Amino acid sequence: MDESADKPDIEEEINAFREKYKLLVENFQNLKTGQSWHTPNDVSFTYKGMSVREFHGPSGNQANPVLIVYSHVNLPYVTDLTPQHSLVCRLIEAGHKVFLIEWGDVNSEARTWDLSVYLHDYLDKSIDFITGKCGMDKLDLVGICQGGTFCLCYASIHPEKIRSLVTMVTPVDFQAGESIIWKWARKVDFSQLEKMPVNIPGGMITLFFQSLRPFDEIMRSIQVIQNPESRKNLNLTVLVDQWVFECPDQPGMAFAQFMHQFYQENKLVRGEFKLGEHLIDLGNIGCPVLNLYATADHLVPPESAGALKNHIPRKRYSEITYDGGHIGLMVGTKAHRTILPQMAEWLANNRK
Amino acid sequence: MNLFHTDPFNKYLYSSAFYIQAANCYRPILEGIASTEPEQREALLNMIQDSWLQTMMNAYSSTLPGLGMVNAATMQTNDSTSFVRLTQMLNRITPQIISEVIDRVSKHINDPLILEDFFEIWIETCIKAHAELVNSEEFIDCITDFINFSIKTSVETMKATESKNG
Repeated sequence: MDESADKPDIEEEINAFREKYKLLVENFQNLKTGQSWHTPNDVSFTYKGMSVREFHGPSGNQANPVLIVYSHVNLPYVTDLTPQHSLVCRLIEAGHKVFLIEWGDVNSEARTWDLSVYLHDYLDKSIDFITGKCGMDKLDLVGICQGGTFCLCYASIHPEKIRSLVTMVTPVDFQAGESIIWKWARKVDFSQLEKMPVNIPGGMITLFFQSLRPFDEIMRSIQVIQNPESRKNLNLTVLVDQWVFECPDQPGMAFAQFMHQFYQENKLVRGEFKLGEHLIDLGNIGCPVLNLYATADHLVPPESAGALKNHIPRKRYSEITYDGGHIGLMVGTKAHRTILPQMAEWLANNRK
Repeated sequence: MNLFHTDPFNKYLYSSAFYIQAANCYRPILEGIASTEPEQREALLNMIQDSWLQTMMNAYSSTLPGLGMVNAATMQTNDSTSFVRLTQMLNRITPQIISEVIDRVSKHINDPLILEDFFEIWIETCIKAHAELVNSEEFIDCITDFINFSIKTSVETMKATESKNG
């Protein structure tokens, strides 16, 4: 009996793999690429470099305004990639009128802007514009990742303007759960950057995120090549990948403050973070809060996001955990079938 | 091979190259496991350790200097110093990782794994090794040195520019 008959034919498998790779590359030709919004929208308000995007849908009700506040470290169009994977669509379907804040390009002037520009000035102007336009006193906030942290700070300063608050994959206790971002940042001297701010190139931020789990990425890529089933959502995969690689530049002062005061000193949960004249006390948040976080989140560990429950009275606090990762909660098929519709419904129920 | 790519299409190309490299390690692993000669077996397993280390170093080579595998002192002299440090770190964890791969592959000696299944074991060990690396104090110190150095350099450049512009 030929012994080689029992051995795997590695050469044959490599050749088969190459064929699958070629097929995948051919599939790329037909893909939609580039930054884009799925839902019709326009910019309805601008202030300095910031803008507010207003989405138009068949069921959006002016009386139910929701403002999405995305992180500054990534671009917000990930909230509206395709009809099946759009947070904007899930909110519109539940009858909300959806707005979204875009922080704007980081120019040389922005290097000296501190966190109060983003957490207070920009948010406050946007919220006043939206409530004025919709003829309401209050609106709902959906804060994602760092944007959720911004929303928590804002809601503690202006509880009278917020009807309900949703936080998604939002760091609260920045040192809980062995956060790799905290580990890497804890010994960095950000004080120099605070004294003489320099903008941080977005490419460096992208590189940082890529360096955390590069082999997981290889594994996923090989699965896409090997398994035709995983190519069903190839367009979405490519759109998400493009988004991942597009981290915007970071304004020097605000970035240094965020890393120093939130990560290194964990001031938010210690009740020591001061924004201008306002000392941020999460206990001041007077609205119902829904906290969505992911159990396998490598950027914002569940312990970090889940710590919010210790700062909001139980009767006003709800949470939903997602069995997946950080980005999956925003774009994952499972999240869009279950968690995000639940979130949109929770917001709608709070108005009744 | 660039592990940290900035083009979403290129990642499939780089990942494919990584897959082929793993395939090239699978042959000697199968031979090493099957060998009854202790010396030949040891030589093959040493070769696998070298190949694994080389695969990891290739994967890291283009970008880790920019990520912090250099410290403020070595940055201005020679990047290869950073690879000495990285190699030392990887060398420490390599035997355990390769031993784990061998153990897992050996369980299938009578019905050897197809390449695709072997790759799963291979990539899992890389994921584990990388997680150990990026969480180690030594690596974090390198990152810290590099970021502090970058901040210091950028701040000094900004000061010089401001001073020049009055």
